[in-house]
Amino acid sequence: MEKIKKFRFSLNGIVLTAAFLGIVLIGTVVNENFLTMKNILSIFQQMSEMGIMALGLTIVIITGGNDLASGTTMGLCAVVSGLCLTSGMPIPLALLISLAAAVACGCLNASLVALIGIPPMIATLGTQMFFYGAALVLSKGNSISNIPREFYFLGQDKLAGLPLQAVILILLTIVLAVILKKKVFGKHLFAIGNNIKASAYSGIRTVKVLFLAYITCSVLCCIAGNIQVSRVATARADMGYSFLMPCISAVVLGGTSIDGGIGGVGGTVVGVLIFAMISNIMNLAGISSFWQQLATGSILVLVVVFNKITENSKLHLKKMAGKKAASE
Amino acid sequence: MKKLLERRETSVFLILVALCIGLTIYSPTFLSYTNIKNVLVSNTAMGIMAAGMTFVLITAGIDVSVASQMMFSATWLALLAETPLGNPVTIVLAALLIGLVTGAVNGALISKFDIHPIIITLGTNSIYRGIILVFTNGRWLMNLPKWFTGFSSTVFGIPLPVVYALLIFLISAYILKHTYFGRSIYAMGGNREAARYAGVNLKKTVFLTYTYTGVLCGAAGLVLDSILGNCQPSGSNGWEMNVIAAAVIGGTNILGGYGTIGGTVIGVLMMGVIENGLVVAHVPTYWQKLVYGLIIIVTVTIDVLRKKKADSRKQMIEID
Repeated sequence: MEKIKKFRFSLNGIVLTAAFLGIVLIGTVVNENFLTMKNILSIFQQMSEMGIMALGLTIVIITGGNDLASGTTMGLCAVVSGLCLTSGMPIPLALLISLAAAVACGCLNASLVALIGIPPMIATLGTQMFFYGAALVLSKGNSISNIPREFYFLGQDKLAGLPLQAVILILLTIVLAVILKKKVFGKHLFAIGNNIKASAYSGIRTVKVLFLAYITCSVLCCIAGNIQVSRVATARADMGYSFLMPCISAVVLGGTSIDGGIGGVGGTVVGVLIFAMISNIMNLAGISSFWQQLATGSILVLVVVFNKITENSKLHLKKMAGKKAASE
Repeated sequence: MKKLLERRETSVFLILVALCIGLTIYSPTFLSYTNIKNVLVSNTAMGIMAAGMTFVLITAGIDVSVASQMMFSATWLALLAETPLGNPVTIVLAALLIGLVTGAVNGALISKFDIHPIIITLGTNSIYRGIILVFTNGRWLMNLPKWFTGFSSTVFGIPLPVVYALLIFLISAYILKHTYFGRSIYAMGGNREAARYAGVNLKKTVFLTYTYTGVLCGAAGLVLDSILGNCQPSGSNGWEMNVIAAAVIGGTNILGGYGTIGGTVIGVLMMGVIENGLVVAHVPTYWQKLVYGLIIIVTVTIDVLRKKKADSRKQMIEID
């Protein structure tokens, strides 16, 4: 049993590493600018927003849930902070209000999922539309420009040679990795993902843990949204709408099981990095963004099917081992 | 009689009637022939997809690729119409065949590998959309031939798309109610394990369900093209949510096991009337999403709470 578990983990790791190296190789061959410092930094900058959102999704997916509203949560928070900023509020207050909006979004998702018991996909499908609508109503369907210049630091400044948002992504990844691996809260997340009923019977306060998970996800979406507002100096309701698919794909690609209970944030970041590199290579080669949509969809399906096949063969191995033991 | 009153469809229908009366009082133009025709025709493509979605939801599955499947079919049909092969017969056959293929791919992936349908259809959603966008380079396909738009002409005051939609609703309702396939769908959605022990071939049922939905999406693509007279490959983005919403509003249980085509039709009409009502009442269109989202959340919440209440009345014995 122990051996089989190890086998699978390393297999996923091998596939990820191989994909990563393969894409780096393709990038280097296709364009000589790919491995320059400037391009690598721009990849980091591009992947940060999606990466931060994907971290949040990883937490929720580990609990066996899903947050289809994460993209529109990002848009809603972006619009809220955009409105606050343009109305002349000080930046910390604007960020705080946007954060409060995110917590409210997370609470709504969690109440529907944990308290009422609606399947997460369906609950967040409803809130996805609701948040999008709310963002559209708040912004009256327009994009909000005139973001004050002082706010540009979040998405355009550098810290120690790295884009600030990349630093934020790295810090968040480390914090979440420690929480998932070492803290009780992390263990509870995995336990709920494996078997929510058993977790409840063994004394885990499942409702509380689920609330924290969904709120964490929404808050991370809010951070991503604010970074994007700062980077492009506008706020729009549909910001992040197109992030959902690639984010879920990245989480699954990174080895987190869509059924919950297995996974981690490290793989997710590598998954996002792979997608960011693909789109970067396509941009460098002048391939239209339509191909990227096709590529992300295909990769998602291929990876999920591949994971399922290895999982099935693992089960098969287990069965064989059981039979062997029984016959002996 | 009591049963009829207790059903969700009845209450939604009554709300729909009340809404229509209210709108007529607010603005008499609502009940005009042109406006009613407008509401009906502009929702036919959605209604046809919603019929398929009802099948999927009853099996406790979900298909978020319906809008992409529809546009996939619509785009290839528009391209086919420009070639010498384009004539009414080949177009109809092609619509059904394209839908059959996209649906069968979904069904095969979901049933073969037993992966959650939302993941597979999220993936194929991007794939179908990506293929047509890459092929057309995002270009609009304008000026479809006269014989093509003729599919949606009005005969004796009745718009043909509405007739197609009605026909599809009748066929779908018949399949659900009176065929082995339809009954297996309900059985599977009600209790997967029990259905399996009762001899229902789950894999085959899942495969057929998604394939049937694909065929309907293909047909919806044909109807959409003929109504609009052009085809925008990047268009109708996000319709899948409206389609799901329509089925759910019409009483289809998102957890599987219950749903009717009649209810879904009422749900589609409800969405259409709300959309039209917002326009008639001069409410900015961006309120629409908010209202739809709210309706989904409220109806699903009521559904789940009802099911919980019903379950708590039962004596549950769990055997693992």
